Parts: sequence; structure tokens; C-alpha cells
Amino acid sequence: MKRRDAIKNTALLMGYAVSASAIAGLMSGCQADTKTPVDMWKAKAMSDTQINTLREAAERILPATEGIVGAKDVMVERFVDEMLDGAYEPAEIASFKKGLDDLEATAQATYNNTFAKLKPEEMDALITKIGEAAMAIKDEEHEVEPFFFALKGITLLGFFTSEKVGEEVLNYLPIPGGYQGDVPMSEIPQGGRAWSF
Amino acid sequence: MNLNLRSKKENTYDAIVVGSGISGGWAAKELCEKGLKTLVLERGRNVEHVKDYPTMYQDDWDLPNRNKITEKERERQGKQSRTGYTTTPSRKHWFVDDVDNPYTEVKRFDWMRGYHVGGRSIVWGRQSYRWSDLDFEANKRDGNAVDWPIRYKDVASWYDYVEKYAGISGQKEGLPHLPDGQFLPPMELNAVEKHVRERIAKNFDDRILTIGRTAHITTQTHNGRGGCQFRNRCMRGCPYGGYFSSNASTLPAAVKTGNMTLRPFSIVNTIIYDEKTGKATGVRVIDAETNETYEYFAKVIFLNASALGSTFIMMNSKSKRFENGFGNDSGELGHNVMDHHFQTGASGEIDGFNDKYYKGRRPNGIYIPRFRNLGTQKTKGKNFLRGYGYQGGASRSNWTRSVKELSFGKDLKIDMLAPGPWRMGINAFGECLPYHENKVMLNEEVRDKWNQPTLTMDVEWKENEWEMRKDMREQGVAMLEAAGFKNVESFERPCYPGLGIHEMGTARMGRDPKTSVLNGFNQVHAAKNVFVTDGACMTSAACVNPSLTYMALTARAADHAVKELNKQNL
Repeated sequence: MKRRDAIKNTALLMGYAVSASAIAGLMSGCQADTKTPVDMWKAKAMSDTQINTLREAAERILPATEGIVGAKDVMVERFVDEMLDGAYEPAEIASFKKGLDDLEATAQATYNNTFAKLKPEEMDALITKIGEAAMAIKDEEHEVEPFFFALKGITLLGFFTSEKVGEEVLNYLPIPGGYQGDVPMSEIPQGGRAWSF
Repeated sequence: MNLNLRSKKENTYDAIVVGSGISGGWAAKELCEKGLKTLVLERGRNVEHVKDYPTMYQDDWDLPNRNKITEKERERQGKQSRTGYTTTPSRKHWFVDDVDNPYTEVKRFDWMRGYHVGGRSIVWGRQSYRWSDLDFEANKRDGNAVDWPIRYKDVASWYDYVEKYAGISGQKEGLPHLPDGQFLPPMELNAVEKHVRERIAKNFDDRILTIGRTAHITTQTHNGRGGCQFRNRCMRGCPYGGYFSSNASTLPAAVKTGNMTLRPFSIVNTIIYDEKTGKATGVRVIDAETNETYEYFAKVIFLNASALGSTFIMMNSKSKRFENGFGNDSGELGHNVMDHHFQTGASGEIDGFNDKYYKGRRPNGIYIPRFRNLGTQKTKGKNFLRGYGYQGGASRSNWTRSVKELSFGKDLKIDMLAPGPWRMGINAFGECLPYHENKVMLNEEVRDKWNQPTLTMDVEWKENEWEMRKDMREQGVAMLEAAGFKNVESFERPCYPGLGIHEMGTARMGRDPKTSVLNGFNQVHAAKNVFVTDGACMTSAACVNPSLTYMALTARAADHAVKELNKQNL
């Protein structure tokens, strides 16, 4: 069920129309800009190189697969830019940007190429390397999240909370109307995907 | 001060209710329905049911930063952000601006406030449990503080009364220390919770697991409100009226009588006391928008400004008769601050249920009622008095489960589109003893936006709470392990007083005016036409969520007030 249908149903259920201001609020929710074309869009918190590195790295973490969008399709990098531009603490922002810069520097040193232009298997090799480095750090040994976890965490967050994934890929049920506590997986739509939220 | 001297007659009502949250809403409804012309004063803006719930339909992707708290919010809502959940973009408008509304901490105190019509009834946790005589007799039994002037029999019928109107869903369990109520049908336990219920019953003959008792409508409609739609977006305000709030329930009932006048932006600064009659005659109000001062008069005044809010008004109301604050002959005003201590318990993972899932977002969890110090040798707690209960629930984990792993790429993505393993967490809520030295004080130096004095908090957990917490943690682990969970881990997170948002006790009820502020009907001992029926009145804290008890005590006090007015005793 789409959100607009959901509102209509609400009105029916309650026997009165939901007020105009509520609907206005609903329709005007502020979100990361996903409308501006790629070549026109300008990052607020990152350089072009950082954005390119992030865009490609995120796509390797959650690649487009047959019939299912990937990180690039939902513009995870624009969500990250929004988050860096206000939701993160300065130390986290610095650490995240340094992580992207290091990834680019390693790409240059190892493959003599910019990260965004590497072959998929080359990108994977470098991401595995930062992943292993993060896994080796014990929880109590760092103040800010090791870069790989920060990158993976925000990529997953951006992907799974995007409108496209939330409404179309995961099972979207804005107004469940009830609760059933014991449902066989065989009855869950889309071959048993998780609920959107 | 600009005193606006409108005619006294124009500003005179039968009753004044200060505050419009859970208890103020009930006071307004009851007094209006009994025919009193009632002025409800709310310090914040108006909030109309449905119309003023701006985020009620928004999904995460409609909200700024996908509903994550930002640094910008922390600038004006630093203290309000301490819970980690109160100032997300979907609900930050229900919490105060800490810069305009400062307070001072001798010791850390997390004071979450909502200044608007409906107050914290819009954002409350909705868990609704009755007290029993185990609680009303507790102080007397173990010799702490003073005895409650009332017992369960004095409130039982009032619990019936408020439950029937508010709509409380729950399962009857027949426990003497957690009395059953007038329940709407219970919400369902999920597959794992049902399993845990059976295993706990089998392994612990003193314990049960039940579905949370919650102020939600689980029938089609109830007293004009719609049934819960299981969206679990309660804190944003519910367009269906699926849970109890002043805005959805009691204030509309008060409006219907034609007897209520609601005045938002009205900060009650002081109570006006008449020495000749020995009564309060009204209140002084600062208009929050214009800073003008008004006086309103009534025969009876209900203070429902929240525990510390009502206490502040009394402390700030000094006169020749009450040099240390209104009604404070005992010296107990502002003392005996209590809250529930929590944030300790256990969690774990369970196999064998991966062919099962659930449908809908249940805005409620499980409850494991108190099983310590029930009066038998067997239930005696190690080194501590009183007890605790657990709240929690089981669910299948989502994509966040993989963040701390090395995996990435196609397999990770496919894996994360499916629900993860079942996990369950249980968080204990413990009773805090009433200590005279846990107190709030009037601070004349630090002023709020309206140049009023503010509060200073000096509250801490003491040995009984710390000893209890050890048991809260250990028993959490024991129960999950007995229920077949693996990788069971205990947790102990920082938990300062206030975080439970159940602050109470600062104008306690009691039998003796020398040791308490209020009598057994919530009347100020020394000025019987002033009633305090919010959390301030509590003589002890029990371990259960308090709002249902505030509702019952308020309805009872309103009934008493009108009877006394009719007898011309007030």
C-alpha cells in the first residue's frame, strides 16, 4: 500500500478527513535531494573526489543485483553528505573524510589510478583491507568508529531507510491495522523479505 | 511586572487546573463534568488532536536526516537529548528548549519536559499498572519515610473508573501484588515470547511473563476513539486516538461539557493566598508570549504541572504565612525526589524459530512483574528492600546486525533483505526509596526566559538501588538462559535520576501535617482548597509505571473536591 492510499484509508476509518495541514506536512517532508542530475549536484560536506570514492565504495558494499536497486540507485552518497552536514560530530566528520582520502591514496599507490576508476575486484581488495584493519581494532581502543564500520554502517542506513528500498524492496506496511505474533515465513510477501520498519 | 487588572469577576471561575498533561486532563474532565466552570492553564502552545501532529504520517525518508538527532538539535535541547530518543526530528517538537527553560544540577538529573497542551501525555510510554497494598504499605512495613494515608481499597474503584474510560489493554493474571484491571483485549505475544512465558513459568514458580498492560484501544473503537493500528508511531501523536492522551481523550470530554476554558501560553508563577480565610484564592500567570501578568481566581485549585513543575510553583509562592513555600509547614516540599532506575538487564539470541515472523508493529512489550520481597522468605532480596519488574520483548533483528562484520557485496545485500535471528532483551525497572536528602531547591540566581527563578536538582541513587541493580542484572541473565537463549549478555548502562521520566515525591501525601505536604485526598494540609494530584503527591515510588495511579488519584480527588464544595467545606 502506498502512502497516499494510506491517508485515504485513514480518513475512511476515522470518518473524517485528516486536516490539510497534516497532509501538507506529510507531503513536504525534507530529505536528501535525489532529484538534481548527477552532473549538476554539488556536495555540501565533501570534495568531488571524496564523493566519487564514496559513491563507488557504497555500490561495492550494496551492489545493484538483478531486479533490486543498489546503493548508487538510491544515491546513498547524497544522504551521507546530508548527514555529514549537520548530524555528525566534528571528530566523526574528520575521521570519515580521512578514511575516504586514505582509500583514494591507497588506490593511487597500489593501482596508480583513482579509486572510482578501479575495476570492481580492485575496489573489493581495498575495501577488504580496510575491513580487516577495522576488525583488528578492539572496541575500547578507538574513540571514533573505525572507517570501515562507519562507511558500511552509513551505507546500510542510507540504503535501508531510502524511500525506494523502504517502500518497494522491503515489505512496506504503513498501517498494519493489527498485530499477529506468529506468522509462518511462507506467508510473508516477496519470498520472506524483512518488514520495512 | 505589568499587572493587567481586568475585572476580578471576569477572571473568576469555579476551579483552576494548572497543567494539561495526564493528570491535568483528568482533573479538567472530572471537574467540568461535575458542573464546575473550569479554567485550564497550560504554559505552552495549544495542540489540537490530529491537526497539530505534524509528523504522524512521515516515514523515515520524509524526515530530516532520516529521523536522526543532529548536532543542531543538541544546541537548544542538550538535556532533552539525553534519553537518545526524545529529540529525533519526528518528535523533538514535544520537548522543551533547554536554553529558555534552564535548571541546575548539583548531580546529574535528566529532566524531560513537554510544555504544550497535552504535555507528556502525548509522548508517554503508555504502560499502565495498578499498585497494590504491597506498595501502599511499603513505607510503613520497612520503616522508610512516612506511611501512605491511603490503601488499595481507597483507590481500587477509581482504577476501575479511569481504566474503563481511558482504555487499558492487558491480560488478567490473578497476581495479588499486581491487581488485574478493567482490561480491553490483550495484545498478542509473539512466537518467541510465548515460548519464554512457558519456560519462565516452568523454571521459576514465583515468576510470570505477561503482555504489557498498555493504554491502547484494542477494540474497533472506544469512547469515540479509534482502535490502535499497530503503526508504533505513538510518540508523534496518533491520528486514530489509538492510545490515551489528554488531547485525544480527557480534554475533548471537558470541552463537550461547555464548562472548560483552556488558556495556553499561561505560565503559573505563584498561588495567591488569603491569610484571613486560610485558603488560596487564585493564581498569578505570566503570559508566555507577551510577558504580561494576569490573576485568575477560583474556589478550588488543582496543581497538575508535573511533579517538579507543581513543586516549583509552590516553592515560588512565598507569603508571610508560608515563608518557605506554599503549604510547606513540614519542610518536605521539594524533598524525597524519586524516579525508577533501569537500564540494566540482559539480552540474547534464540534458535529454532526462524520459520516464524510477525505482522504489524506492536507498540508494547512484555512484562515480568515483581518477584522480590513479596513478604515470603523465598522472595527475599539479597541486601535490598522493595523490588523491580522487567519490560522488554523479542523480535527478529534487521540489517544493523551486519554492520560490525567484514561482509560486503551481493551476498550481504541478499542476506540483509531477509529478517535476521530472533533476539530478546529485558530491561528491569526498580523501585527507588524516598530519601529526604534527594531534593530540588529554588534557584533565585539562574532565571528562565520569563525571569522566574528555576530549580536546582540534587538527587542520586543510593545503596539500596545499587544493590538491587546487581540482582536486576543477574536475574535477567538467569531467566533468558533458562528459556534457552544463547550468547546471553547482561548490560548496565548509565542511568541517572530523571531518565525514567517518572520523577515524583516532592509534595508527598501523609497522615501528619508535620511530615507531609498533602493529606489522603491530595489536599494541601494547610490550604485545603489546593489539590496536587500529579507525581509530586507520591509517598513512595513502587516499581511500576505511575501514570495510571495519577489518573486514579486525580479522579478521586476531583470527586472529593466537588463533594466538599457542595458541603461548603472549601
